[in-house]
Amino acid sequence: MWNWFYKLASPPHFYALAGRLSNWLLIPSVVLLAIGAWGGLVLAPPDYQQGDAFRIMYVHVPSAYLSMMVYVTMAVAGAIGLIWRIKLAHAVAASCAPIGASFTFAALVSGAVWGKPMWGTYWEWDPRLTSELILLFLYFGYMGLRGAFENLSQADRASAMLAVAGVVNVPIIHFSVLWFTSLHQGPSLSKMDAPSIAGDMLWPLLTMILAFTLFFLGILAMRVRAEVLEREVQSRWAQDVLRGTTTAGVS
Amino acid sequence: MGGFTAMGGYAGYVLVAYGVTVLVVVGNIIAARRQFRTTQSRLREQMARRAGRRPGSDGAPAGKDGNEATTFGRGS
Repeated sequence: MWNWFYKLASPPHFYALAGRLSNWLLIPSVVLLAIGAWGGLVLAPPDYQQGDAFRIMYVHVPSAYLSMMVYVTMAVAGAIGLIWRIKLAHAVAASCAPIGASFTFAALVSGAVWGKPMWGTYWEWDPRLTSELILLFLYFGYMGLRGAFENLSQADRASAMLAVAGVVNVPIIHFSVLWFTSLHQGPSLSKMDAPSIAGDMLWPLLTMILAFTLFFLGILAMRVRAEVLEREVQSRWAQDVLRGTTTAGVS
Repeated sequence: MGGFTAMGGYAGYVLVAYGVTVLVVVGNIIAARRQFRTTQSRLREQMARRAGRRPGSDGAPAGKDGNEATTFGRGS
């Protein structure tokens, strides 16, 4: 078990593994995205209250879920990097930020265009919307902070601290609809004992959530490879990869 | 079919939401691929410059086996 963990944390091993995994994750994710979108746009019946506007849910909910999940991944990786000084963990954290920011943006835009026909406004300073916007600013802050340092290890440490501190915002986003008076609807999917959503509307949503998760992992694998190469450029295996002597970089 | 594409008057909102999501998905793929290629070519240029500055050197690190930076990914 520990042997496997140590092997996984080895940059050349991880570089090769990520190269193989990225395509294995991205291809099924795109197929699932197409199936989920077809199910959500065509097969699912219109909602009895929201009509066809509810179909926005199939991109909004997975984007919002991913925005939080990616942030938690980034914070956990940052914490691992800070505590155990594993460079690979910092590489993972740094790679998460642009992905998370883009899906937070997608969640905010899709939420806004869902809000207009349902609430009569694109934006409201509602606790859920505001905390999600803060999440976007946290991602921007994280990327800005990394860019402000010339020294990579200083950038790693400072940005990891910000990621760990900012993770407090994630439960606020999730529970804001329960803790505060909110325009946003309450949880419907996380009530696993009795999800308040019909089965023929539920399966495309679950398919999209799975597709988004696989997509994130695939893109993360691609981005981490570039980060690892950058950090390991002084080592022989990375130089062999760059020279084309070896494609995988595994000894 | 016309009824479906109109989506009860909500088609514009649905289209924007899906459109932005598709852009984000495609953008992520393009950005990740570009980042990898840019990093690769930049690092190759760096290696070539270093090799040019130190004739006879292959740009290998000063460690015993040139592999010390990879040990379990632990850094300073």
